[in-house]
Amino acid sequence: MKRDLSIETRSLRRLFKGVPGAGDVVALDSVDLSVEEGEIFGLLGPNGAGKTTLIKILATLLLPTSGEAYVKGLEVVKNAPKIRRLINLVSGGETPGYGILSVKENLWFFSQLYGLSRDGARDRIKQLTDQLGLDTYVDSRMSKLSTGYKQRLNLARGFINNPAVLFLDEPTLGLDVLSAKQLRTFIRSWMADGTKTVLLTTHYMAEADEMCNRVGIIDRGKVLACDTPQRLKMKLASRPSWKIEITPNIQDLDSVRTIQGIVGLSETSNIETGASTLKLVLEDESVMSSLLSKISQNGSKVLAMSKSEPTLEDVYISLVGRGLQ
Amino acid sequence: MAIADFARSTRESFLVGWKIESNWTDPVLFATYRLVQPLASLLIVAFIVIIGGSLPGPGLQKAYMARIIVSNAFFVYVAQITTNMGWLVNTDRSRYEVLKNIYISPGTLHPYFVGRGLVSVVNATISVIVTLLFSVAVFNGILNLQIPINLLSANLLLLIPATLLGVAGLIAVGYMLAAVSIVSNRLEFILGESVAGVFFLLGGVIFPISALPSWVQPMSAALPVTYFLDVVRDSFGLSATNHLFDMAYLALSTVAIIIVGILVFRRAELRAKRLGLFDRKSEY
Repeated sequence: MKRDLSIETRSLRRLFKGVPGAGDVVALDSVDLSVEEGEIFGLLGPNGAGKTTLIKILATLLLPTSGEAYVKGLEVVKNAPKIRRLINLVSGGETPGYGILSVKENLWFFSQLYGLSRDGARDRIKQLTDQLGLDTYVDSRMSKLSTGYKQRLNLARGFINNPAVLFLDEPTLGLDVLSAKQLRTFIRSWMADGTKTVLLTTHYMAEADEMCNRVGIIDRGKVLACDTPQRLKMKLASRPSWKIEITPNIQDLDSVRTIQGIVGLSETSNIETGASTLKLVLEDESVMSSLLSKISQNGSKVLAMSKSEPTLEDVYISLVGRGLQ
Repeated sequence: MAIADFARSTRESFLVGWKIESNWTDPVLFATYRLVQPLASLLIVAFIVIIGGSLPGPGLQKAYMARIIVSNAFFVYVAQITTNMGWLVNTDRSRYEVLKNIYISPGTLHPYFVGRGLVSVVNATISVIVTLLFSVAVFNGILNLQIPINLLSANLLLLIPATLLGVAGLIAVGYMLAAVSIVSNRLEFILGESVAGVFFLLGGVIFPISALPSWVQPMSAALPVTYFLDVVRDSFGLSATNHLFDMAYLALSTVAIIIVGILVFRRAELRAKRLGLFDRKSEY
């Protein structure tokens, strides 16, 4: 293992037992990944792609079926106790602690599990609650907090031991735009010394684009691409990305997907207007005529269409074949 | 994990457990509950005393009453520890969703389980004291039944070590139950109470072991709870058994349960990591 790698996996595979008669479910399929110290590495993928499974293996919660995984050079199966001193995990959308305890009491409990000194714990709790906007709620019971503030507490718990490697599984789930932005700012400032590493899973492409040094796109347990957001987008530069607004929406979207030359397609519907926006990544412009006639055959009208610079979402669509929505 | 770290994690787990179990209501209501709970158990004893009244001979009746009062009072340790620790994983995994976060902390679940078990010990100790005081006050004071229990003459040199050993063994049993409930599916609902029920029937709480069917007696004689209650009754002068043997058995069985508990935990941990059970949500 290279010296400056914080996370490394080699041919990592994880199977889960499926329903009787259906065989095993492949959650991770020969995943090779390297995350360097100081990096924010984003994992993008649809539900069930294997993102959380990978994080659970690295966080010593789950055993791999085969292959190897290392955190800070320590093999996760053999060195779990050592790894636990170096890591923490935040899962979005989960209860961050005991509802009957206050924010401060919850954080104090976890600070003591991580062996912080009493003074050190007090300072750390003060620092985290201030920076994450929890300062006015430190004595409030966790059960009284709104979803967004509970998630802030969850994040504060994850940062309590100042981990060398932090696993963030959908950390901004349930956060409003401003809170999510505050969190991103906080993570960047926390990583400023270059010794911390974050493995982040998210559904928000813009978040991954903004935050991550590198991104891995994962689907059905396989890493389809892994590079900086910029390079991933550049690879797509030769493939035109189009946004087409139509009404009414197309019921049978699969019939559009089968058109030769469509690399990926995602649809976002507007329930109020009945219109929907198709995001397409095409092999080349020649596909447009077939596409427009298909839309017409479906009885839909084109309201607007525009060609755009490739975004991370377009990269995702072109690799996975569909959007996250 | 260093002993000091383990002790600190245990202490904080105890404090968290105490807050969870005591802060659910205002202090007056909590204090009332803490009093009512053992008194309700005392009512059960009162009914048993009435049934015990049908035994032949006034001396036998009173000795029997004293036996069930003391046994029943101290059985609270068994009931509280096994029930609460058997249920602990379910609430922390499904309701509070903190089990996995505690598990990936340096001390994992060991000090946490012990600390939470100690909360049950404190609660049970309060219940034991209240039950004994009220029993003497009601049966010997108000009803003047002259049951042979003298709290002031209890042999503390026998009672305290026996209680400490008994409690240590019970926490080890609770630790084992908590480990089993990590990998069990819905068993957590009955785990603690089932074990407490078996201990109640076979531990000599109500019936002397000699009154049990002969095929059950070896099981009863193997249970540490039997010896724990034996020595406790001895310390109140209610029976005359071989103290040294009972204490030695209690000590050895406690060590054995701790060892078995650790082995069970390791098996459960391995299975939970294989199947991904540390963050499993109950869907019922």
